[in-house]
Formats: sequence, C-alpha cells, structure tokens
Amino acid sequence: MRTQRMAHQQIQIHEDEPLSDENETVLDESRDPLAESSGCAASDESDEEVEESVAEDMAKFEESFNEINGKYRLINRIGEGTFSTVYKAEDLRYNEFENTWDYDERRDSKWSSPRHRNRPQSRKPRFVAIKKIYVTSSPIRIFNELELLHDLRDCDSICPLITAFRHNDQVIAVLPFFQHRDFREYFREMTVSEMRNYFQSLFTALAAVHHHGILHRDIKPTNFLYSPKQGRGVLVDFGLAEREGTDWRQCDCTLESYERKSKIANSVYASAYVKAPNAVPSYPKQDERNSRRANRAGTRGFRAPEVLFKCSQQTTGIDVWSAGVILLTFLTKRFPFFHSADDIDALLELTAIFGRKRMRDAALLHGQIMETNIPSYSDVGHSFEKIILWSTDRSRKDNRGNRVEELSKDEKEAMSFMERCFELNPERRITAKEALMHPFVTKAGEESGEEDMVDLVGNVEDDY
Amino acid sequence: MAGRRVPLADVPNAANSPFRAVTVGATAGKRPRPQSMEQRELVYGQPPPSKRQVVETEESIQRRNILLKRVGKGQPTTLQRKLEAAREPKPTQQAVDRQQYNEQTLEHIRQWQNHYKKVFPSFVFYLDSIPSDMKGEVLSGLHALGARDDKFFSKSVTHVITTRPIPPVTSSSSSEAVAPQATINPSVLDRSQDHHGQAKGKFSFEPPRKAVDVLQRARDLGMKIWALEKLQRIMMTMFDTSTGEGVRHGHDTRTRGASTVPHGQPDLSTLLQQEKLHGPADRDVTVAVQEMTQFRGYYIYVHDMDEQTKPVMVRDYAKPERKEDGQWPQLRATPAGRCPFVDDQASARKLKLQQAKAKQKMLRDQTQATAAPRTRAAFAMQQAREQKQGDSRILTENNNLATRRNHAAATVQNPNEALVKPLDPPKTIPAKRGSTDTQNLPPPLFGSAQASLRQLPRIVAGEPIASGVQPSNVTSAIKSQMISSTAAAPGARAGTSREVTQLKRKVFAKNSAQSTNSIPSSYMNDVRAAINNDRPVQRKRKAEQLVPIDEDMEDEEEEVKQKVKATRKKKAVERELKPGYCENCQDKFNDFEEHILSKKHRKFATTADNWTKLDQLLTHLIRI
Repeated sequence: MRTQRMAHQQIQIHEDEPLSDENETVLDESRDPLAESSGCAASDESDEEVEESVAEDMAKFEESFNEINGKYRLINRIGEGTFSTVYKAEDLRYNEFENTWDYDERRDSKWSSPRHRNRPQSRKPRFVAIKKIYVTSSPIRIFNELELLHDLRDCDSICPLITAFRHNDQVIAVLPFFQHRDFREYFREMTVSEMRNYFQSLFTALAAVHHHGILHRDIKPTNFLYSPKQGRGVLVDFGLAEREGTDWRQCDCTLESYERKSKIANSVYASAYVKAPNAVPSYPKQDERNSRRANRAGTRGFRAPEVLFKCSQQTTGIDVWSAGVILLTFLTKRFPFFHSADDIDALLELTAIFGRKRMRDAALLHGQIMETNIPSYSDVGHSFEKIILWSTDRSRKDNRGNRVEELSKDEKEAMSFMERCFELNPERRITAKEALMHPFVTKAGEESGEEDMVDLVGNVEDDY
Repeated sequence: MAGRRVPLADVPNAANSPFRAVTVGATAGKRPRPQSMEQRELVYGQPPPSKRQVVETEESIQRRNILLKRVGKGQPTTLQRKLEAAREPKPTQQAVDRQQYNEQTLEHIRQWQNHYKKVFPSFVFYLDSIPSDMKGEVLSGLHALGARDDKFFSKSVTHVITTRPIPPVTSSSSSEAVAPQATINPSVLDRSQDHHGQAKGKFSFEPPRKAVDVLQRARDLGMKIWALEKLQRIMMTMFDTSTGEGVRHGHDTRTRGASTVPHGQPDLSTLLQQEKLHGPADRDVTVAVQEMTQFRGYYIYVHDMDEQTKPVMVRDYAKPERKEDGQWPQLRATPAGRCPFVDDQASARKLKLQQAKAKQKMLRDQTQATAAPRTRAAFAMQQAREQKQGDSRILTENNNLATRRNHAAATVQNPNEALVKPLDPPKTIPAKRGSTDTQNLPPPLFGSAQASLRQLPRIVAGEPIASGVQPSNVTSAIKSQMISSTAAAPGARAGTSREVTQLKRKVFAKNSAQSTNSIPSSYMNDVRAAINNDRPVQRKRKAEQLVPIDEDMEDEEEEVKQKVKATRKKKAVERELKPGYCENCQDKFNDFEEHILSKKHRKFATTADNWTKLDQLLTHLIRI
C-alpha cells in the first residue's frame, strides 16, 4: 500500500496558479521509482526489528487515535510518503467481520471442507495495512481516493478498502496486507512466461479501473504489489487517480486527422517555418503567457508522451503506457529503464529510443512543436529488438556483421505486445481490455515451451 | 475634481446623459463595439506614428467599404474604379515593386494570417442571402477557422456575410452618432427595398418599420459586413499555407496577395495594433523579436504551434566537443541491471577500483616519503589517465565520462567549495560534471532540472553514499524529503537493499537539521538537502581516499570543527522539523507537528462543514 502523496498532490492545486509554474517539475512527481521502499514487502524478520523512532511514532499514533486501539495492533511502519504513512498491523477483531475483501480466505475456503470452514480460525494472526493519511491533505483529496477505491471494490486485482474512519482531521484507511516481493528482487529473473502472468494480473486490474472510467495515473512496479509465488498482484495507491474527463480542455489530439492537419498547416509555426525553414528557434525571454495546463501527476520515467506534451485530454491510455514501461524493464532487465530526472529528460530519453520523427509527430498530435538539434538522437531511433539485445548484453555480432544472439520467440511476442503499449498516439495504443486478448497475455498460465529451448527455436527459425 | 468627472466618463452611454452623444461621437467614432474601444485606447497608448496609422486605417476601412458598397455586385462605374485606384495606391505599387517588397509583404500576410487565425474563433457569422450551393462551403470554411455561425440574426453576431450591396458607412455614421440605443430609430434610413441596381442610398422618409433590413441593422449594431467575395479571399489566404510549401508557397501567396493584401492590410494593421494592446499574452513569435533568446547550443524546444501558451520545454545544452560528453540523456553502456541513461554507475564503480588502486599507490608513495603535495585535481586526472590506459573493455564514451567525473570530483573537493554554506542559493551547486561546459551557458531556468535535478543526483545518491556514510536517525519527514527529491534515484542500483536505502536517508537526516530556517518550497528543500549533502559525501570520500595528502589534513581539522558544530546543533534541535505544505490551510509550514496544532489548522480540523462530504462516504465504508 503505497503512500507517497503530497508533492504531486500539491501540484494539482498549484497548477492552477500560474505563479507556481516553476515548481511543477518537482511537485507532481510521485515518489521516485527507486527511492521507494516497497512498503508492504516487509518480511517477517523486519517485523521484529522495529526502529526506536518508528516505535515512538507508532506509540504516538495509537495514543492520538483511540479508535484503532483494541481493533488493530500496530506492528511496524512499512511505507511512508509525503502524504501518508502505512503501518502493518494485526487485525485483532478479524473474526467479528465479514471480510469479503479477503481474497486468500475466499480462495482457501473454496477448497476446504465445510467443516473446516466453520471452525473459528482465531489462531492465525490476520494482518492489515493501516494507511494514515496526513492531516495536511485536503478532505477533497482524501474523498477522491477513498471514493475511487470504493467504486473499485469488487475487482480482485485492486487492493480493496476494508474500512476507513476519521477522527477530527485524521483519516485512516484500512487495507488488506498483501504479501508480495520487492520488484527489484525479481525483475531480472523474470521469464517471459512469468511476465505473462504478471501482465495478465496487471491488465486485469487496469481493465477494471479503466472500465470504471478511472485513470490510475501512477502505474509502476511499486504500486502493483505482485507475488511471483502466487502469480498474482494487486494494484494499490489511488492517490493520484482521477476520473477520465476531469478538467478536460479540448486538445488537438481529439480532432479528426484532417482537421488537425489543417490546423497545423495554418498554425503560427507553419507560417514561421515557411519563412525560415532552417532558422534556429528562439524563445521569449520574459514570457508572460499562461502555461499550458495539464495534469502531469505521475512518476518520472513512467509518464506517457502525451503527459509530457501536456495533453489536456488524457485518457486511460497513460496507464497502458506505464505498464509498457514495466514490461520494458523486464525485457531489458534494467530498472529503472528511464532515468527521467524531469520531463525534459524524460522526453529526450523517449526520443533516443523512438527517434526524432515519431516524437515530433507525437508532439504535433497535441498541438506542440518539438524542435531539437541534439546530435545523439537519430530520426528513426532504435528498434526495441536492438535495445533489448543491447541491454541484456546480447548484441555481439560475428565477422559478417550478423547477430550472434537473437530474441527468443517468447521475447518477441512480449516485445510486440510492448510495442502496442508504446503507441505514441494514445488513440492507437492498445487498451487494457484489448491487452487481455493479446496472445502475450492470453497464454498466461500455459506451460510454455521451456525457456531455454526457445532460444534454439528462435535461432533455427532465423536460418530459414 | 477628477472624482467628480469620473462618473460621466464611466457612464458615457447612460440613457439620459446629456454627454452621451458627445462622448460616443468623440470616443468610439463609429462603432460602439469593444474593438473600437480597444482602438481608442490604442490611440492614447501608442506613439504618434502608430496613432496616425490607426486613424488612416480607420478611414481607409470606411472608404473601402463605401467603395465596395458602391461597386456593388459587378457594375462599378469607371469613376468608381478610378476612385478606388486613387485611394488605394499601395497594391499597385506593391505589384510593381514586388521584388523589393517581397519580404515585407510576405511578413504582412503572415501576420495577417496569424491574427485572423486567432480572432476567428471569436467571430459569429450570420449569412445573409448566400446562395444555398455556396453555403456549405462557406460554413465549413468558417468552422475550420474556429468561427461560429448563427442561423438567426442577433446581437451576438459579429460579422454578416452577404452577396447584397453593403449599406454605406457614411450614411450610417450619422445614425451611429446616435448609436444603438438611440431614441431615433436608425431604420429611418432604411434602404433595403431598393438594393437592386440602386445601391447608392436613397433616403427613405417613410416612418420606421419593424422589418428592418438585416444589413442596415448590422451596420447600426456596429457589426462588420463582409461581401462574400471578401470572406472568400480571406479564407483563401488563410488556407493558403496548407497548399503551398516552402518558398513556392510564399510566391503563391504574394501573387494572389496582389488582390488579397490591399483588402486585408488595413485590418491587419489595426489588428496588429490590437495585438500590441493585448500584450505578450498572445504574443506572436513572428512579430516580437526584441525579447527573444536564441538557442546557442544543442536545444530541445517544445512549444505551442500557435504560440498561445508558454513553451512546454525549453533547454539549451552547451555544445561539447564530442556528443558523448553532452549532458542530455543518451543511451550509454552501463552495467547490467542499471538504467541505461545514467552513465554514472559504471564510472562510479570504476572510480572505486581506481581509488583502491590509487590508495595503494599513495601509501607506497608515502612510505617512500617522496610524494610532493599534489592537488586533488591533478591526482584525479592522473587516476583517470591510468584508468583509461588500463581498462580497455569499457566504451570510449565511458572512459571519457570517468575522466569528467574525476575532474568534477576535483572541483567539488576544492576546500572552499566544500565549505559552501548549506543555505546558499542553488547557483552554488557545484557542477558535478562537465562543469566547464555549463559555465558558459546562460543560467538555466530556475526550477528546471538542468542544473539541479539532473546533476545533483550524481553526488547525492551516487556511489559514495551507497558505500556507506551512516549517520543517525531518520524520520518520515527526512525520508520524504529525500523521496520527493529526485536526487535519490540514479545511483541506487536496482536491488539495493532497504538498509542501504535507509542509510541514504540518514545522510539526509543529518543535514536537514541545518536547513530549517525558511522553507519556501519543497523544491528548495530538495535543492538544499542536496547541497548540504555534498559535504558528508566529500568528507567520506576524502577519508577513504586521500588521507595522506597535506591539504586534507587541514580540511580535516575544519571537518572536526564542523562536526562538533553539527552535533551541538543536533542536540539543540531535538525534534526534527518536518517542512511541508498544508492543503487545508494553503500554507507552507516549517514543522508539521507545529502546524497541525496551530490555531488555523485546528479550526479547519474541527469545522464540521469541511468534513461532511467525506463523512458521507465514510458511512458507506463502515466495516461490517
């Protein structure tokens, strides 16, 4: 249960004020993908060793919030951000409630005998995650997050809300404690067939979120608690989520392509370009124009191009893009793949891969002109095949200049799926629903050909 | 005195004001529309030449309109033609001196286009007696330009398009003196009945009738009346860009412009003036030249194609000798598992190796007591050289980076810089790499990540931290500070353990205690934290690597002093402050604990109204 809200939440407020523009870069940043300790990953041994300061903090919390006493026993602090702190706690009165949220229990009881099911299970400690939302968060924001979670309560891939309550300005959300592994521990060992499971689970969650017309906005490994053992994950942290269509203002990307073309052809830029096609651009020194307004909340390195271009009609496609970044991480075995210190770097990193031409086109979709003369980027960029091979140190070539190693058939399938997530035009990008029908995902759970063999197969095929 | 006058000036159109007619006449001239108001202001606001131009423009519009009207639909008398030619000599001249005026004309057309493109969406057209076969075409053109059309004539209409003769302005100017709300009905002057052939206004002395001709009405309401041909010409010019390309296009525009420009131009200049009035808010890059900054190096520039908003991205990178040295993100050979856009890790690791090697060497040197005091920079450079020769497996670009890194490290380790005060402004952020490159650049936009975000991480979360400064306690505030700072990321190797991450936090913890004075923004916090962080990092590196050097001994004395100071300070500030922002009070605070107990915040917390909506939701969330 991720907790890091604040910075970016501030943004959303701030973005309406033109003055705060300079803060934007930092403010809408969700927690850094690497900096996050994976909150709920707390393993058993770390439960034991509670830091002194954490113990103090928890004692204070319990003292100030009577309602949790007798209901939950705080065990450890497992995650914290700028807008909330998450604690692992024992659910002391588990048996007094229905617990429809408890996926494991439902699954277990399905297979156990009725007799066994009826037996009280008081022995087993039940854990929950308690999210203490800082009192500096506005009620509207808290409402937003809780309401969206409530809307999504019936989807197994989304971390359900057990309950939430308030004492004065302190709001507490109780969520299931989901045992999972830290992404960084396993992403390099993921086989393609494991990836299939991962993405089936993730896209099931996304499809549900999107079906409700909600954008998660912060899809990244730390917000998808995945248990490789169970082959199942849950989506958490809806602190940045919003309903699709919130604060939309017309963006050129929604125009018919001929309309857009005519608009582009008649743009100020087009006429300036006609005048001096090769002119080095210049920008106003003191620019008093308004900033383009768009929600940019999200995590660096996971933002879709339309977010970077400040599209004012962002769709659920931004989540699909972010999911694509996760897959890229698996395939290249690099985390994070994009460094993206800020949006400009993020855009340039995309340009390094997709090439200048496609990025320019992507910018135009949103009425933006992208101009760059940076020499490191080619017009056409690199193919993902090349990038994956290169990233995984398989890019050697023989004397004749042919690659020694190839992507496996499975990898290629994963790659083609990823490419669908990486459509620069959000309209053409695969939707979560469609993703669930893509061969890469539909083959999840199948005992696919042994990974080792696939390499050979791939090579053989290439000889034909 | 002035105070007494104001009301009159403010209410020039008050129905019963005796000043009314005068005021209207004096200010608005002929049209009481906002536009004319703008023009009026403009007359005051502009230097004399412009003013003159405006006046001329106004006149020429009127004149032309008269001509247009009189010319009617195709039967201009020779006299009228001559008149028109005499009154508007420019086009002819332009046609003659086409070559000469080439650039200017083009520029004008472009400005004109740009302007119209901007204003069109605010136009509401009413089509008057347009043949139905033309209508569709006209409408689609209007819509493409963002304008609206009204099926019914109303006050909201701004432009009337007609194929009929346009009522003269001259005659209406008399009626306009009395303006829309006039008690005398302007339709006294109605001539709508006889527009066929006899376009020249015959005054009708019939009593005012209810059915007033639309054109006359439009004239009275100060709407613009355009002949269909005019609209077609405008649209032709507007859409022109799309057909032409490059230079050829320019010629097209120009040749066609022979007819287009003269009609467009008067509008253009008024409109341009208006644009000046609007100020930079709808600045047009093709117009404003004086305040522009041109890119000097390698740049990325993402901006609105219509220049309505601030550019989304602006960054100018210094041009390095080799592109691999550029500070923009590029794919680099990094060790497996690591981000391919961060060159830091490989070099950092190498650095470590070097350091180990160098340390040995230094020890050897020292025991031989032959080592002359050297600057660290020289030392670092030598390391780099050694390393370059030694390690052939690494790509050239990385070698080079290693060099730069060492060099940068040297810069940072300069004793003076190492003692930079924690609260110095961001400009003191030591350049982490390529320091010489950046110095030549104009200062980066504050808040851009150029200087801080992209570079800070190199040190903050670079290898030195990961390998072990281990200061004391961490609180969530510190943690979050570190987290919200982008500083934490790049160094951290994937798979870094929680412990290591926490160690990093501790680095922040140590320093954040010193940076509690005033916290303007979380950004500044990050910057500061990062700046502050330089010291321990360097210290550690020094301790690890350069103990035997004389300079360092001095440094270490200073270090000890500082350490003492730091510890003292820490005792004083027992509880760490958690700075942040409260959405509810819309205040930035220095200390979370303090803020939440503040009167203002308590008031918010205890005001039930603030929570009703949330509470409603919470009732649905009660556990069952």
